[in-house]
Amino acid sequence: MKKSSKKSPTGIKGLDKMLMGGVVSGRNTLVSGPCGSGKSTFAAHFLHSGIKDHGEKGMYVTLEETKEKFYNDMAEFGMDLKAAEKKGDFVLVGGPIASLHGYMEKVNANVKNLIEEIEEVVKEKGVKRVVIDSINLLSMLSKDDDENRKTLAMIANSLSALGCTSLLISETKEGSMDLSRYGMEEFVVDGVIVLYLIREGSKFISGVTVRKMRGSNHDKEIRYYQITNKGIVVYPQESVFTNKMME
Amino acid sequence: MKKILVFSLALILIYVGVFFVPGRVERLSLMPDKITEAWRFLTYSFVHLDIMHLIENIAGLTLIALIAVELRIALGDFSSVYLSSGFLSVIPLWFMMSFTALGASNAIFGGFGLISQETRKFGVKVWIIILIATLLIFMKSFFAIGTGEFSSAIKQSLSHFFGFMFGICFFFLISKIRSISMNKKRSVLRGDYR
Ligand SMILES: Nc1ncnc2c1ncn2[C@@H]1O[C@H](COP(=O)(O)OP(=O)(O)OP(=O)(O)O)[C@@H](O)[C@H]1O
Ligand SMILES: [Mg+2]
Repeated sequence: MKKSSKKSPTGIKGLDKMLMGGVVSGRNTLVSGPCGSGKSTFAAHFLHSGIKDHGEKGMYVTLEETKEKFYNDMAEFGMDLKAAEKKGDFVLVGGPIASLHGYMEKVNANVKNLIEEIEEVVKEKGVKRVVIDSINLLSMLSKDDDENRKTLAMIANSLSALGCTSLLISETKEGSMDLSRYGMEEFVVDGVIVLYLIREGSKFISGVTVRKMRGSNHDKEIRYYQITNKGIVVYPQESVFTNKMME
Repeated sequence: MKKILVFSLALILIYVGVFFVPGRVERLSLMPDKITEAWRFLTYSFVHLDIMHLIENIAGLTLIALIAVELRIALGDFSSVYLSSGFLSVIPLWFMMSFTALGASNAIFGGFGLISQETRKFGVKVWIIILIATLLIFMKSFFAIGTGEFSSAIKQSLSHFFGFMFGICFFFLISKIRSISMNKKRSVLRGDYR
C-alpha cells in the first residue's frame, strides 16, 4: 500500500476528522472565508496546538492587528500565546497594514524583503508552523499585479522549502462562493479549506469544507461549525444541509 | 549586451575622443602649478599621454570589465568604484609628491581592488590576491632601483597602489552602507507596532 503523506493536526478536532488527521505536513494550505468567519481563530488553534501537542514552534505573521489585540482575543478562547512567546515557542511579527506600509516606504522595502525576513525568522528560531494572516493584505503591499503574482508563489515555495507547515489566510468577499479573491491563490497551495457564512433568513449559518488536500483523502461535505468560548468547534457529523433541515 | 560592457565601451569612446583633442595634455591633465583650473580634477583621468598609454589603458579596462562580468559584479558597484578611484585615489599622492597626473590607470587599479574583493564569492583568499597585486604593482620600481627611472617609476607604482587600495576601501564602504540599509529593510515585520 502506498504510504500516505504525513499529517499535521490543526488542533480543531472535528476538522481534523474531516481531514483524516490534519493538513499535509511541510506544505501550504489556503484557509479562506469571509470577514468574521473565524480565520484568525483558526490560525491560533493551529499554532497553539503545534506548540502544546506537537512541540512545533509557531510563527504568526499578521498584517491586520496589533500584537496585544491578537493575544487578548485568543486568550478569550483559552489560548495563551503570550506565554508561549515568553518561552520562545511562538513568535508574532507584523502589525496593522497602514503602519507597516508607512515603515516600508521609509526604508524603501518591498514585499520580497518581507518574505526574506520571514525566512530569516523561521531559520533563526527553528519555526515549524507558519501562518500568514492574510495574503490579501500582503498583496496590497505589492506594487503591481505582476509583483503580487510572484509574491504568492514565492512565499509558498519558500515556506515549504524551509520545511514549514503553513496556513495562508485569504479573505473572500461576503456571500461569494469563490475560494479566493484573485482566483489564483488556490493553485499555488496544496490544500484549500473554506469557511462559509450562509445566510438563512435572519441569521448566518457557518460551514466549513475541505476543497482539496493533495495526496490525501478527505471529507467532501460542508460541515457545520461554531465559534464558542473555546474557539472553533466543527461538527463533522452534521452537514450544513441536514442542519438546515432540522431547523 | 552586458551593462558593464556598454559602460566600458562608452568610456573607451571618451578616451579615444579625448585623445584627439588638440593640446589635450597641456589643457586637461592635472598639473601642480595649474591647481586653480578646477576642471582639471574632472578631466585628467580621461587624458592619455601617447598612443601606448591609451592602448594599455583600453586593454586594462577591457580586462577588468570582462572579469567583472564573469564575477557577476553589479554595474552600480563597478561604475562607482571605477569612477571614484579614477577621480580621487591619486589626489593625496599628487599633493604630497607633486607631479603631472593623467590617465585612467588609477581607475583601472581601483577596478582590480573591487575584483579582488569579489573573488571572495568563489572562496578565493583575498589576502593572497592583494599580495600578488601589490608585488606586481611594485615590480617595475624594483627593477628600476639604482637607475634614473626610479623616481618616476616609484611614483607610478605608488599611484597604482593607491588606486588599488582605494578600490578595496571604497567597495568595503559601500557594502557596509548597503548592509545597514538591507538590515533595515529586513526588519520591517519585526518592528514594534501599536
Ligand atoms: N468568546 C466568543 N464566543 C463566541 N464567538 C466569539 C467569541 N469571540 C469572538 N467570537 C466570534 O469570532 C469572530 C472573530 O473571529 P476571527 O477574528 O477569527 O475572524 P476572522 O475571519 O479572522 O475575521 P477578520 O475577517 O476580521 O480577520 C467574531 O466575529 C465573533 O463572531
Ligand atoms: Mg482575522
